[in-house]
Amino acid sequence: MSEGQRVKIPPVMVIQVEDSMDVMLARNIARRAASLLGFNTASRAQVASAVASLVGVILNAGQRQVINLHGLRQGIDVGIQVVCDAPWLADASPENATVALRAKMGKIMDEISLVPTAVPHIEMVLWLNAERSKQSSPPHS
Amino acid sequence: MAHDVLLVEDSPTQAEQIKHTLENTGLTVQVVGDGPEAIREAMINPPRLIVLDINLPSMDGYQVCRRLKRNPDTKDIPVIMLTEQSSAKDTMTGLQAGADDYIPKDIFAGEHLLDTLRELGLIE
Repeated sequence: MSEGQRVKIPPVMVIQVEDSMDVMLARNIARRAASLLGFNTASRAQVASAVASLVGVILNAGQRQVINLHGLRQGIDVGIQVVCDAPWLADASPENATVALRAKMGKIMDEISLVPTAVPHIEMVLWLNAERSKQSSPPHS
Repeated sequence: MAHDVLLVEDSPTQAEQIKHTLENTGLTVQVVGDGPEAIREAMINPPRLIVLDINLPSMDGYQVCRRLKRNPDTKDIPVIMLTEQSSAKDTMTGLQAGADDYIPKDIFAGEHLLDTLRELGLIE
C-alpha cells in the first residue's frame, strides 16, 4: 500500500437506508460504484455484499442512515470506501465495535473500522489490485 | 452438443425464468437439476458459462464450484453463482470456491447477470 494522504475521488454515491427494501438498491449502487472504479465482477460482489451487510447493521440498530460510497486514492493506489455514521455505537469501545463488525463481515473488505469521531462512523475500504481489476480478468471465448 | 450456458438449478420455475433471461440475449441454455450431473455435463460438453444455484440436492453449489475449478478440463469455464443466500460470509464462501461472480436473487439479479455476461464477453 502506498503512503500519503487519502483523497476522495469519483464516483461519489449516496444510499439512503430506511427499510429492508433498501438492501437491494444498496447492492445495486455498490456494484455500479465498484464497476466504475474498475473492479472485476467478483470484487463487485464483495463490495455489494459488504454494503448489504452494513444496511443490515443499520436496520438492526433501528436506525435510518446515509451510506456514502466513493473512490479513494492513496499515492498510486485506488480503492472504494464505504462510510456511514453510527451514532448508536457512541458508547461502544471502538476496538470492540471493530471486532464485532469484522466478525459479521469476515474478510470481505480490506479495512473495516469504527472511527471514534464526535459521531462515530463505520469505514470500510476495498483496494483495487491486479487480481481484482477488470483488466486482469482472463478473456473467455 | 455443448450449449453456451449450463444452468444448474433444481427449481423448475426459477430455472425457466433464468433460462428465459439468458435466451433473450441469444445464448443457448441447457438446464440440469443437480451438482453431479452439472459436473459430468461440463466435462463432456464444456459450456462457455455455468450459472449455478447454491441449494442443490446431493451436493451444494459451493462443492460443485470447487470441483469444477479443481478440474483442468473445467477450471477455465466462468461460474456465476445466482443464489438466495446473500450474507457476506456466503458471498466470500462462493468467491473462495472460485466463482467469478456472486449474484443474489433479487429484483436486480437479471440486470447484474447481463452486466456480467457482457464483461465476460459472452454478449455485446
